[in-house]
Amino acid sequence: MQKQQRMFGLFCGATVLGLGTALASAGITGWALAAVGVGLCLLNLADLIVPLVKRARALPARLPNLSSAPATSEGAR
Amino acid sequence: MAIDIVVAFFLFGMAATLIGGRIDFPRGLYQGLTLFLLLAIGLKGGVALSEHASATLIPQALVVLLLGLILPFIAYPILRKFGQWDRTDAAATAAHYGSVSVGTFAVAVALLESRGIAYEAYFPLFVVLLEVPAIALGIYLATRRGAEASALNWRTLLLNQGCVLLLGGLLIGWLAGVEGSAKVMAMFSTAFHGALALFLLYMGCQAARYFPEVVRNGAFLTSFAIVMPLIGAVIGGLLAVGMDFSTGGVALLATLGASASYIAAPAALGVALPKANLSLPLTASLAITFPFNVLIGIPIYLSLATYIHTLFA
Repeated sequence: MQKQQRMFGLFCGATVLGLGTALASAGITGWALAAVGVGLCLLNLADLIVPLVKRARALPARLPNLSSAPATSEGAR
Repeated sequence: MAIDIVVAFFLFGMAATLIGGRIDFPRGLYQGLTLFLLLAIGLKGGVALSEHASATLIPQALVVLLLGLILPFIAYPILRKFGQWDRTDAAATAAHYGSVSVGTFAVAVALLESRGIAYEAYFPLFVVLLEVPAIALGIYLATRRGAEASALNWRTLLLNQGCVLLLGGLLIGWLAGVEGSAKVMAMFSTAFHGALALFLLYMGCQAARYFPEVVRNGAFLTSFAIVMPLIGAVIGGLLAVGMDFSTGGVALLATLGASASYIAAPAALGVALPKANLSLPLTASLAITFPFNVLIGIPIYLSLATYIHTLFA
């Protein structure tokens, strides 16, 4: 569900950015719209990436055997 | 680049609230300003109607009604499919986006008048026509499978303050005509921009107060609240071009298509769909769509309308 929402958001951001750029190239002040598009893309990218980073950082804590593996084997020796 | 004076009031209200500044806006003053703006818009439209009423208004009104019915049918599947919202919340939000905001319309009218751009002065009639159908459709979409069916309260729907005052103003202006309304029109015309500036100051404060809700609801709501007005503006603009409206008329119908209700729709849907989470559409329309339209959207719709007219002229 979250991923679907983010992908929709990214699509919206890209569309708004494209529309803004197209308007600006046609001589209509579309730079503000393009900036909104960039903002939407960044917002959705951040929403997509931040949970992944959090999950990656939490991985060692969830695998205690892996992180303490060398010490255990030292003790056993 | 000179900023429009009424928009500056909106920005001021938003900035002051965001930095923690206190602007105590009496509730009664806001209600008074809303009443004044609705009556001023209605009266002006009524006077114009008394001069320009013709049979061509009927097909135009039908097309405008169609616009009000198309938009919820676009918003609803987006919210259901991509947002995975439940049926009631999706339908309530779709209804908000099919209905219109008189505040946004007033800003567009003020911009057209300050730039001396002509428009079909009977547009307030279209505002009234666009208020209701989307709300009725939203209630239908939410209750069509019977699970949470509640009675559609036509009284609440049709007798909301926006509809009553706009229609009343239209009727008075139409009956009085140009000469009859001259005595009061002086006051309504002169004070219109000042009242709109104060109204926008309040709206700026309100939009800033909803920002924490925007953060809590995340990127999807923000994306939807920015893309949906653009879709509405494109459809409204195309319909207006198809009906051969003036530059101002195209910009106004695009603005109406882009705007989302925050007064009539919450009042009607709060009664008809008690299970709907109305903070979602209110946050989207008040804190994202309204500022987007006022600051970025309306100038673009106007530029596009001018561009299209010069292209086909």
